[in-house]
Amino acid sequence: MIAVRNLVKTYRRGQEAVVACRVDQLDIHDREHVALVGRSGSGKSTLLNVLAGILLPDSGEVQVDGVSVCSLSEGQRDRFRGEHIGLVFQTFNLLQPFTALENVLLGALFARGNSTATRAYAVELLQRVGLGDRLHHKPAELSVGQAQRVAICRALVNEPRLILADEPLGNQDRATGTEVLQLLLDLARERGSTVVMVTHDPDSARMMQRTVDLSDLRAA
Amino acid sequence: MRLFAISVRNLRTRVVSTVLTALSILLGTALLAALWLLIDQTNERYNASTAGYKAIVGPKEGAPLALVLNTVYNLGFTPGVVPFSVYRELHARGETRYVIPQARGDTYLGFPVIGTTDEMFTKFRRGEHGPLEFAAGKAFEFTHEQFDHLAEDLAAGRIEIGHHHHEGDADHDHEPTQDHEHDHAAEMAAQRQAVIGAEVARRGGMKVGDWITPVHGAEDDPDPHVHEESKCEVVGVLAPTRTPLDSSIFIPLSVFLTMDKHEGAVRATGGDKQVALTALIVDFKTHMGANWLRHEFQTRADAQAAWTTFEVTELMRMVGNATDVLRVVAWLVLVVAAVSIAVALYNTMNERRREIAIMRALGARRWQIMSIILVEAVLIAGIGAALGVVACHGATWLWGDVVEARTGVFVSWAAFSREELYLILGVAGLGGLAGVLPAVKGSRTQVADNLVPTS
Repeated sequence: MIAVRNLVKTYRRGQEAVVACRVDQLDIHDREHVALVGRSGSGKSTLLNVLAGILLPDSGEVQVDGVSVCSLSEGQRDRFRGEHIGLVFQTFNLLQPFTALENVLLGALFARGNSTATRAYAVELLQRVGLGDRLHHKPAELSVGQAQRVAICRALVNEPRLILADEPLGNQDRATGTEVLQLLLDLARERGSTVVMVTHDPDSARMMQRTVDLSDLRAA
Repeated sequence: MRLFAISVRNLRTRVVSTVLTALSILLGTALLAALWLLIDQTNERYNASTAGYKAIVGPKEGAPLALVLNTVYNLGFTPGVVPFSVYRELHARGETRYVIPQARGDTYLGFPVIGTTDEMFTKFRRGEHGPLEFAAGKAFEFTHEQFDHLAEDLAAGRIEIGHHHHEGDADHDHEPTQDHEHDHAAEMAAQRQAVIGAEVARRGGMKVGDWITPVHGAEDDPDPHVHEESKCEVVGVLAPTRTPLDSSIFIPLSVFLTMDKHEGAVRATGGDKQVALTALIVDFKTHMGANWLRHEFQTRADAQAAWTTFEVTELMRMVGNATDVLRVVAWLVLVVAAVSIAVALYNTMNERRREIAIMRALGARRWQIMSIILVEAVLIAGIGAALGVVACHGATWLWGDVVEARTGVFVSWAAFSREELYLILGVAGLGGLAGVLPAVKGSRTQVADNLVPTS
């Protein structure tokens, strides 16, 4: 599903170029659930953004589902991301003016538009995560756990081949976080999606099939 | 959900900013629409109102334009008087289609009360619209011949102005003319009739059978004289003409000239005492007749002829120069309003960076982000413009009477024009143009920088 070779991504800090992420080789298989760990600043989130086509590396090759992400134009990358990748963020990133259902539908809007079937599927997803009675609530009216469930539904609404999750447990308490993560993994498994999750939490990492320490992927 | 729905939701989220920006567009559009409405309807009505008034013969004093404005549009004051001899002379000429005498100076409920003959209803023609039509009732009867006799009697002193005899009056103290005057008094009592215009009927809530009491002088006269002695019964209501005729009240000259305080109605002119009129409405059977009048009245000392179409065209040309400036000002107001849209949206781009980054992360292309912002700009401008046009018509509905009093033009608040639709579309387009800069800025929002903190 994912093949990364000799990836280097640098940021400029004034005159100085700072290496944000360096990965010599990384392979993730189809339907695999992988935890990306590593110390702060090791480039976990940067790698996730590169895999999503949000950032382009300075050098190296990144293939997602057989597609060379780096060779796509910006518009193509946007489209590819919308259609094939679901994103779950640490801070949920729900749009405040929109209801839970609308936030989920936004996940489909830019990729394929909203049809009656999409809406029905979005409602089904929200009901599946226990938010059937919160469809028309805005993010401010939801608890932290409920908001992250909405974000998970948004990531899943396009039935993506790949789910990229960046610290999805955020500041939730352990019990709620574990429950939400389990829900994400269950739904991904049901739909045959590959999951790559950035986390600092060893317990969360243990819930995944494999753990990859980003520090190990760098050449010395 | 569609992109359009996102734009609408964004506007609703920033409702205060949206309303304030739309308000500036509303004001600019309302100003422009009001100018169009006023100018176009004024032009149209001023031109339409001239039908039937080929030439106005009036007093030598004053400008011809003042004569036209007073006679055709009920504006301003009567500049002076024209002697009866001029009327008699013109009426006798074969080239004239009609010569209709007018005497004015009194009002009722603010509407001018005009003394005339029944030729106003039998001979006057509003061009292709034909003679004045009645919505109810009929014309009063006061013929040219009756006026001719009355004028002679008044000039000879056989009838005294302001000496009225009501039914049951026994006090006849003017012996030499007692019998003759008694006959006239009875005749005149029968002639106390009025024909009112459609607007008078509408605004005054009047109908056939009601009574009007002319007031000497204008409505705001500090010491008005109410002609209780000359109450007239409404016998006819004219059909609407959408001209100042709708706001006019016609009564027989016999009643008008003999009211109290109308002593000026008989004056010594050229050595003879004769009836004084304020204007004569003249139309001709042939161009020859018009040419004769033009030539004849260039040099006469007792009257002048004003050519209505010429005067109104000149007036419109002068007014046009001023309104062109106003139009430019109105467009500038709109441009400033459009800039305010650009500024308002541009300023929100910073606080919307995260929102835009989220949408980009969800797969939104740059053009989709641009579309959302452009639609917001177009919506603010379009809604503001549409409300501006509605506000303009609302203002016309509220203050149409004031406009009519000042300009003599009845502005219809319900008359929406195709140009107003173009105006709304044009302003919406202007809004779209104003949205380009914020849209470009929004579409360039860096996704990764505004989405997640780097770790």
